[in-house]
Amino acid sequence: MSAASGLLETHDLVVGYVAGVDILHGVDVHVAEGEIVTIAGPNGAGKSTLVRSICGLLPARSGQVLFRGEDISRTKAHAIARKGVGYVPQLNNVFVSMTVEENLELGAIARRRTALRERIAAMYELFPRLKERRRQRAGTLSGGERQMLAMARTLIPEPDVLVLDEPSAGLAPTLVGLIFERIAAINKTGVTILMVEQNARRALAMSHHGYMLDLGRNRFRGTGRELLDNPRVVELYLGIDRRGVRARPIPGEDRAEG
Amino acid sequence: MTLSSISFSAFGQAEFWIGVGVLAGIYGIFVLGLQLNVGFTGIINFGQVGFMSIGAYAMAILVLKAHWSFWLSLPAATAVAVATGLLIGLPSLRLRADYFAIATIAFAEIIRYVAENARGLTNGNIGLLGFDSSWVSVSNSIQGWLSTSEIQLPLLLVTWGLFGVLTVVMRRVQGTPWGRVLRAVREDEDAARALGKNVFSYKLQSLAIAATLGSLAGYLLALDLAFLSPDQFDPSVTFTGYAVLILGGLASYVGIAAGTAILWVLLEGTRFINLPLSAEQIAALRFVIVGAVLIGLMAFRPQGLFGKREEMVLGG
Repeated sequence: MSAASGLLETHDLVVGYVAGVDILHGVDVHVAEGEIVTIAGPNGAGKSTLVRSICGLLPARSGQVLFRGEDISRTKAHAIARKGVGYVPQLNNVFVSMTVEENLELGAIARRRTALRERIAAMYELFPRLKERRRQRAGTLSGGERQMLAMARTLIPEPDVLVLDEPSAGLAPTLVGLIFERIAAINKTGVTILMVEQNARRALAMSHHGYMLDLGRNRFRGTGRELLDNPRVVELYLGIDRRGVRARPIPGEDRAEG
Repeated sequence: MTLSSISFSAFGQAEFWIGVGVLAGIYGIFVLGLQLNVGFTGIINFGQVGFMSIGAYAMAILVLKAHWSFWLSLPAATAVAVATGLLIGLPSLRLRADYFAIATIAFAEIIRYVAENARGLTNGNIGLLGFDSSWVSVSNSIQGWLSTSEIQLPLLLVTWGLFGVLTVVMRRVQGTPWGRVLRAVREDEDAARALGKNVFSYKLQSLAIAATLGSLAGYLLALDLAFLSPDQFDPSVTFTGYAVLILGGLASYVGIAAGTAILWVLLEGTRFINLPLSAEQIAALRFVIVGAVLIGLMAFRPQGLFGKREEMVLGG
């Protein structure tokens, strides 16, 4: 096993949707305090399943999810959120009929009004675009703005770890850079980041550690750099040759960037 | 089909229209609960009539069999309805939305069959009478103050007064952080969970409040008819409630008042269309007209009269 003092860990995690069919066949992930950790891997690897399970939205069939050493694999999702694990779902992750500000207010877990105002102000500083649109319905926001709103809303109660499911999904290339830059900024404020990304090169480049998942199993692990430099990882999963051209395009994968 | 003539003679009959107004007000209160569940929480409650039935029967049974005071029986009957709501909600709100809907229909039908067969308590299909003497004396004094001969006018005032107050209260409640969490649950349960909201508990609270409103509508209906029998609580009551809900608009409390008034004027007003048809055919035709109005509404204004299209967000 990896080094001690993990903030968030999974041990031999088995998860599935349909009876008798497991999606994850025993996955181990270790996230230390203050790190950025990326989970990458091809479509169907079980990346989203993994983070949904960590956050309590899918029950574990066996194995453990440890948060600060405490097993939370049987804990309900809302209770996990209250412990300090903030989860940002993939796409369609804002409440469209409510304004930007109402969405942010929903992030509040404790009911202290003044603290909430302060947190919302801090979020407007982190994402100035949201301040401009505070009175607008979230349904009228662009994909990038929705992603910012979902992240800001999850950050309101000051979670210890932010779990992001494909933060760059469906975004224009210019926005992808902006979102990753914001994620790095959030991490600098002391928030640990665990993210799932299709955009693996970019995510691994900014990560302390990374995991390559395939068909529900750990395939490779290492620092972000090690994974990017590992020719096997590049050949199998990153699929881009030295000139930066995709060697093995995956249909539909880069639609959003095209 | 030719429309031979429309008789408006009955439009002058105050008594008839006061009766229609009472029913419209009762359905208004009934639908406030549906609006909270369906329009604001996203839980499809098809069993609202069950709570109405429990409210009415619990009140009547406490007065007639346990010799409680009528006024004490009212909060007690509401408490019974709420307790039943929690009992039904605890197992069934964990189900997927569509299974929950089926479970609630079954619940309401079970209540009706119990009312039919637990004759010792409910008198079965013979029905219950004489639970309303306390109300009748109050009603008589109101009638005296107003110096009117309209016997149902006091009930009309009480019903619409209560409906008005409850509409204001529900709107207020909807504006609180609690109300906003319900909307979050309606739009995306998982996102609400991830924000630390106990979705199940919020749904249960929503159902309990709907049960309260259903029980209020229940005893008003019992007072309106001065009689209780199981067939007053068949599932069509809930579905008429849904017609009011859709007509007025999802996620709008104000729309309910308009929806219930329009639906009941339509339902009852169409009694006076004189056609060369038998009484049964005319009775059926009334529902055809109501159905056509609802279909037209869904086609051309699915958000109803007062609903907002952007609020029509369920699940996710």
